[in-house]
Amino acid sequence: MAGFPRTVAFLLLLPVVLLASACKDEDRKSEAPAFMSIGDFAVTRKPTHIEVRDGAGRTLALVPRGAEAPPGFAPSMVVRVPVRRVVAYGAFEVGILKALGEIDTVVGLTAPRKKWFIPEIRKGFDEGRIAFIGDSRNVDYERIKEQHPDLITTWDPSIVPMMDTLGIPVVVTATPVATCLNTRIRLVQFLAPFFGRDREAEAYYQRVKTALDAIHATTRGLPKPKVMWGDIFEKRVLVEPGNAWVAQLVGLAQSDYRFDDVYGTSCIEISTERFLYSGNDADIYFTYRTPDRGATSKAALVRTNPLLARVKPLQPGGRTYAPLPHYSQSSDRLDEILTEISAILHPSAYPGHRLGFFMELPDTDPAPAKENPS
Amino acid sequence: MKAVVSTLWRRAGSVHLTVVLCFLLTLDLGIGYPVLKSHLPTFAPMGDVGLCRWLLTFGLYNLEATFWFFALLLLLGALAANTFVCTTDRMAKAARGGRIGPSMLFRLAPHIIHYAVLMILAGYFLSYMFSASLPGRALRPGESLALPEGAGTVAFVGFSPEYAAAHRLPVLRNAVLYPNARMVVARPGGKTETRVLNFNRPVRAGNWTLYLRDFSPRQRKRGMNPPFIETTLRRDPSSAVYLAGVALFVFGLGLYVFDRVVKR
Repeated sequence: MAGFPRTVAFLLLLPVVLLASACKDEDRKSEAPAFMSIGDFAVTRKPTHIEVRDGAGRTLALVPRGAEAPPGFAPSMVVRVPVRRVVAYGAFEVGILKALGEIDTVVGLTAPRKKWFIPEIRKGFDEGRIAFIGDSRNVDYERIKEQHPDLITTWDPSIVPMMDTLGIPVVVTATPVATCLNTRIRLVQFLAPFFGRDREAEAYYQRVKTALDAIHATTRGLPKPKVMWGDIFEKRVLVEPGNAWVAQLVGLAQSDYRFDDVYGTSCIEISTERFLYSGNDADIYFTYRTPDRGATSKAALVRTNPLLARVKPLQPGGRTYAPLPHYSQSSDRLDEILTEISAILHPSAYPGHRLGFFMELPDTDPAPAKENPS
Repeated sequence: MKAVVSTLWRRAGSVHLTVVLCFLLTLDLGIGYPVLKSHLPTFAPMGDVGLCRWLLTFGLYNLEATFWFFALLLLLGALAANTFVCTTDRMAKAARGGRIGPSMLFRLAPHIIHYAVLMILAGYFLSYMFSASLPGRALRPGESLALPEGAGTVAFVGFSPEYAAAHRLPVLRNAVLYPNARMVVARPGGKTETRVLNFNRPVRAGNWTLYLRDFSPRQRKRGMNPPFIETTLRRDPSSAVYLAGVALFVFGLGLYVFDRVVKR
């Protein structure tokens, strides 16, 4: 009788043991899949196709042209590779495509020709290969369809249902929280399988990683400047959170990021009081705005919202930097951008460095040139 | 052989083992917490891809960030086994020592609570093992989503948002507190129902449950983003185990409190 409960217990424990041993999948039975995680993104190489997990958590199958699609994937979740025609929402992805040598695959963009600085993109517009598909918040679906893209890269998951209807695969390249530095420099490895450009992606990654190692070595032991990155707009205050790549770069470059305790999405909204509190003793301030969007001088920024006058880097003699218009389109030169940010933080460690992606804002706008009466 | 099994059984249910396991669990979680905080993206996909697939991919390929989680699973498994053996032994002794009746039921209350905790743990474990998740399902007003396995459709009609009054926190003024996304669930038989979807209020349709993951707009007068909801579809057959565990826990706790407080 005493053995009875033990027998019952054994029988009850058995399923637990079996469950644990059942933790296998078919891939493991054949061969281990080559797996790579890049933040929230992931790439799994299978014998017949590649599975990628995008920023929205959706799983897409990359299948060679002509091959049979794997079961379990809706038609709009199957991407035929190598991709030949891309509609891109973000300038960062366009820069990555340039780094991969696939800039000629771009056939649609959410910014018109005049806003682009990449020569290949301007040429594509001129030749009629690239179309302006409308503002990213209000795209023209008919125009997208006319471009016959194989793939759309976007930060906006709300377009997915409509694109499903049109049968166009979408890959979401943004994540609910800001991408970290590691994800930023390795996103190229996520996009490379769409084009069969793994070798180029690895070369790009190594180039950027070398730059990061150099930044770490160059800035080691230097005094830490206090840095803030964000903006006060008319009614909102947006900053880069502590988990964003810029914040992590600032930390890597021996600097003190003032919003390290803020966590969340890129361009996260915080209170005005919090922004001004951190601005009291900041040494360097990076604004989101480019000169063509009003960041021409410190006085010009203060005019937008007088509260900004209390931020120390915006006072006379303070150091405020604005990105130049081509900065966001230069992700193919990410190593140079990272080095430049480090040079701004520690000018003494980079003597003779000339700014190429940012400009230091003067106290006031230069006086307009007087018109020649003749 | 019988003696070996008996010894193993006795040691598996030892209270000393419980203390050691609790100490190790504390140590493991103490190490794991900062590692988890600095590697959140590695752990975030676990809910979507399932525990098995996560362990074999994100887990195995990022061991520098996940080693403590593997240890946690082993320790939790050992603690569950230890609790089960210990409780079963004591329950058997209690059952042998008295007459079958209401008084015995009250004496077994602590053991019922232990079994309930094990059921809750098992429910969570099975949920992570066997639930199916389809993330990234976005809908705009007027669009619908076909549920897998022909379970019907869910259509997004629009929002009936509730805004923050924010007398104390001006930063939240006009922020959407509850989006109240109106959904129409159409079952295969043609029956339709209107439901409201919020972050803590999923919509159930057959075996599938629709969870809200994101929505726009988040403010009353900030209309730059087109209105949409992003959802995740989940099917979790093991939630019944978890809920049964909770019910058993409440039952056991009720018996215990009645026996200790009310009867005296």
